[in-house]
Amino acid sequence: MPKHDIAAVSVLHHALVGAAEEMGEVLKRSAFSPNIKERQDYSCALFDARGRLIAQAAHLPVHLGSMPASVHAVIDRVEFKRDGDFAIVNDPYNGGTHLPDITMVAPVYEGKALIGYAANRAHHADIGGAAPGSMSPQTELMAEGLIIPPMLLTRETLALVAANTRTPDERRGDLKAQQAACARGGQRLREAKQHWGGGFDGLCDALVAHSRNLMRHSLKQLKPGVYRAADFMDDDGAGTTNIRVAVTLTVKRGGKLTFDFTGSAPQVKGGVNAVAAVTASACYYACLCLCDPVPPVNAGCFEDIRVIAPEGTIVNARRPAAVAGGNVETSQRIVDVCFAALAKAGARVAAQSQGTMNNVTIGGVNAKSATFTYYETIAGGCGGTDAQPGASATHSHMTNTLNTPIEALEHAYPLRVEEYSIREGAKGGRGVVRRIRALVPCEFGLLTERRKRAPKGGEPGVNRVCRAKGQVETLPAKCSGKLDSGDSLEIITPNADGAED
Amino acid sequence: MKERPAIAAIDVGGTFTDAVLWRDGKLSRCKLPTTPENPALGVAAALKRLGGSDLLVHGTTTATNALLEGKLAPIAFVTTKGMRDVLAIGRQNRDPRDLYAIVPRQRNELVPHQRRLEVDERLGPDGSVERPLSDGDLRRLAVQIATLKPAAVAVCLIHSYANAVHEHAVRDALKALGVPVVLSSDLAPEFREYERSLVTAANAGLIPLLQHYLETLTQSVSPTRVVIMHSAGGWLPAEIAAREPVRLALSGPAGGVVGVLAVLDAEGVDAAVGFDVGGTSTDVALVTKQPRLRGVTEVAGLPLRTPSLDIHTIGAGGGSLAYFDAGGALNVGPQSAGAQPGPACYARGGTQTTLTDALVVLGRLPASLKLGGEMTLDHALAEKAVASVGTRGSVSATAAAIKDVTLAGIARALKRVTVERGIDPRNLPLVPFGGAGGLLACELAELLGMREILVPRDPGLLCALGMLNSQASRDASRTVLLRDGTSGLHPALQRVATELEKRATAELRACGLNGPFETHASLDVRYVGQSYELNVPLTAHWRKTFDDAHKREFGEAMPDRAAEIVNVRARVSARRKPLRLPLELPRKGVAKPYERWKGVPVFDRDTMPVGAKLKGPAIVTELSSCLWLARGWKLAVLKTGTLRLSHA
Repeated sequence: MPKHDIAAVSVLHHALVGAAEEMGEVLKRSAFSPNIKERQDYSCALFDARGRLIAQAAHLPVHLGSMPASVHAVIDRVEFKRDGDFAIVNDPYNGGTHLPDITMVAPVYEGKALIGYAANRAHHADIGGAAPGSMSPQTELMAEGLIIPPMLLTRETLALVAANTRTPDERRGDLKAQQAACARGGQRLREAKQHWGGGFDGLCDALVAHSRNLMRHSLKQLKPGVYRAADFMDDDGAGTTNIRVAVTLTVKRGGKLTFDFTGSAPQVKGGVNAVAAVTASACYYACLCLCDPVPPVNAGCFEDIRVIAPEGTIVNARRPAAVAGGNVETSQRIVDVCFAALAKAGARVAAQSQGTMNNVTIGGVNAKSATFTYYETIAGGCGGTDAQPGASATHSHMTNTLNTPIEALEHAYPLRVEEYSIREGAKGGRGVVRRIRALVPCEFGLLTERRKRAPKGGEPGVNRVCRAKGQVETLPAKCSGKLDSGDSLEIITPNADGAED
Repeated sequence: MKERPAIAAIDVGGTFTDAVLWRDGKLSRCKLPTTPENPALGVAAALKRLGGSDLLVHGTTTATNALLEGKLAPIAFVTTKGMRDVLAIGRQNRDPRDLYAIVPRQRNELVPHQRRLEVDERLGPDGSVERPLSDGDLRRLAVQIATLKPAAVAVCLIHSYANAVHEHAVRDALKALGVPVVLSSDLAPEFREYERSLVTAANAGLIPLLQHYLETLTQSVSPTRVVIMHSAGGWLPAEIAAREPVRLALSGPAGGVVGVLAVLDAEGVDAAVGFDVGGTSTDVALVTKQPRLRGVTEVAGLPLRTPSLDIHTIGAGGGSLAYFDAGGALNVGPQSAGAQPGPACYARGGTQTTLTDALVVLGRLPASLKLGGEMTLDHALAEKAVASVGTRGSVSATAAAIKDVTLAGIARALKRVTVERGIDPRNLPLVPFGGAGGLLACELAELLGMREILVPRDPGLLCALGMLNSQASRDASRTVLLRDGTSGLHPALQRVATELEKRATAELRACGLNGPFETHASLDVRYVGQSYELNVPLTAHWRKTFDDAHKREFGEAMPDRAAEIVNVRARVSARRKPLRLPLELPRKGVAKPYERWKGVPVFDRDTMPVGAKLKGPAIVTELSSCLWLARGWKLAVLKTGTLRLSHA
């Protein structure tokens, strides 16, 4: 690239990523679910007219490969008619990842010409299904919630979505917030296009090429060869244990990579199946971690990375497998094996992090007879290196959501947080203890990992119920159950090791 | 007419201590080197040089630097049982800059584990006592804390914003220790335990430092009364500042905003975008007649819940280093050459390339220029440094690229304070200040589609002038979490506002500041179920105002949804007329260049008469700053002395 273009490319990058960040601010500030507004469980991105990713804000890595998949599915299936149209999708087998994640895509026009798309994905606190929060272990997709194939958002489809969730009012408010975010992103994309006029498309190409070059520069540092790694999931909550996730990494001279997941376990009954887009996200994330500096995140970053995920396996499930935990749990194990293989190719990596997001849902009916659903993921230990000890009580890898403040949680739900502290005793980053007492009878669901097999060199997590009468019951990694008023649910998240051997 | 007291304003920066004095309708100026070991010495020296004053307004970086360098005093932190690690857990996320880091950086927990203590108590979200605090537990706490020998204690109990009874009990139990005890319910009674704990702990850790500094300062300038500039742009009596030093986190830049406000006043403009290019950083702010306040001040990555002017700082300034990264992209900053050795062209031994060197190469700083009236620039060293960046293009193309990348970063910061707040900068004037603001203003304006630039007089002293022009003010707030109907004003709201106003007024009076005072009460409102609020004035029409604001910001009003009032805020400020600075410009004639530099005429601002007009390209120099008038821009000297630049 000629040097004189570089300034313009940097300016364009700032403009676009600034727009994506701004979309996130709009979403956070106008949303209704604690999960979106407090925990910031969302991602925002901009695409060009061909559906190519041109900017993604630094929100959640698990959406790196799956946002483009949603946009492509929408472009294929939805006929946009005008400026101000919005499409939604959550079908994991048609552009989605798991059902609570509703992706919204809006076309952006300048005059009559389509110039791109603004898209955002937000995790809704409930999307119907068998259990409050739509994140409890189920054995089929239908039980996990409402399936939304790519479709235009109209008054009628909005009503349909709202009618199929436990908290319809919240859904309507959150979808409006997603619309506001898309509208803002579209406005910024239009302004950028107007600013650069005829040079815009060329600059976008240059930006994408710049990211490809930066990524290629990092991947070229790896030793060419074939490297294998495998690890296991604890279970699927429906009878299958020790579920294998395996990868064969091929590094070609010149820095082209193939992650081949042949040899991974067949898809399972319980909801820990990942769709292909999630698997791609995990590979992309691992490669971005090798980069210094991190390139502007766009389609160029991923041009040299090929992902092979055989259909019908845990890393590329077929309909109607249940998938709630694929996005949040299996994705973390895929990252673990990607890093293990990359380390063999000479990459500098850290010790394994907690390897789970510790998904907790609690739902019930509050004193005012209103249904509530509380969803949270809990941080744990991050693995260290010889030089750095690793971070405690911090979300790792594929997620980066915030906690729900205790004071916000207790205002919104009939729950009390009794303890929120850091565990003792790890060499690396330490896990968290979060104990929540129910003030009314509740149902809960847990989707957690690393309860049997600890992160290498670390310590596993523990789930248990402390009954009001005093007895303590240890719970499996994935389960549903009931809390009586006065019972507490205690989640202890995994510790990590200090340095990779 | 009663004689107005003499007022001095002194702003301590990294390199220079800028001082101005207003006495008998006249302004005097003075610039001395900063005394980093004890900045109070430099302040006292500057005040002496100016001949003393009745009142000293001081902008200090002591709090900012202590936070940035992590040098807070050792404190003890007290919280509710089970929550000892609230500061260490934070919001559990990694810094977004570390999203793709091999190991994310450790959170700055401010207070180490062994200095964080628990008391067995619990309040509910409505403030009801669910578990009372026992005397035995309080005695045990007092003993534990005594062994830690803290310099101060911070107390933040769960839901204390709703009921302070337990925090008061803890304070009473610790009285015998004889150290300052900061209660979160006093300092920042708003919900979200991490943010409240953080601001309380930061305040406690700053108290011992600021108390010492402000005492030294007050003594060394006695009997001059001292007020300190706070982050929200007003004066805080030194006595209160010593108790609530976390309010000084943006003490310096706040002066700049008030300085821009004076420019608005003088020119009859409603709003402008100010930007101050310093040595290592650039501060940008949207300045409106009713200055925009944020609830959070971010310093050193710490989200401190204390009101501040909406100032956005980025790590790029005149001394920022330029380099190509592995992918061939050019970066400017955040690393900086600092004051020592500074840019290569300062000829103090620096060899790395800085923005200032690039601007020298681009011909914007004539060889005859003396920075601050003293320092000349070495153009050959600047060329050499820029050439060393490692480019295939010409030296001037590289310099232009460095400038453009810097401009892109500043433009993004400017967008944060304008477009991201739903405000279109194209309708606003740009006000550059600080040493280098004028060198980038034209192109920055072009990037954002802005067509007007106002260059104030003495841009390099604008912060100190702003402090002079400010006024005493005190902010107070309380969380009420009140759900209200769609119209009318709940009597409790007015009651809380009046109470907050009374308390703030009494505090200002107790420090010897007299009225008349102005009060402004406002509400933080959201729809029930949202988590973020919009601030609207406390009036009977608050609901309509809120719906309209929501539509403006988020595209939709939802008048059918119930609204929730989260906080009541009150601001009490002294009413003062802005000072009218005297003008010493020639009244007639035409502007004549005193030299040409690389073919561009160079003018001395002090000799340019009112009404004079120029066309770019041109350079205008003055004691504290330098202006680059780009091609396509016209300049006119207004009768206030301000330079008005417009895009042809």
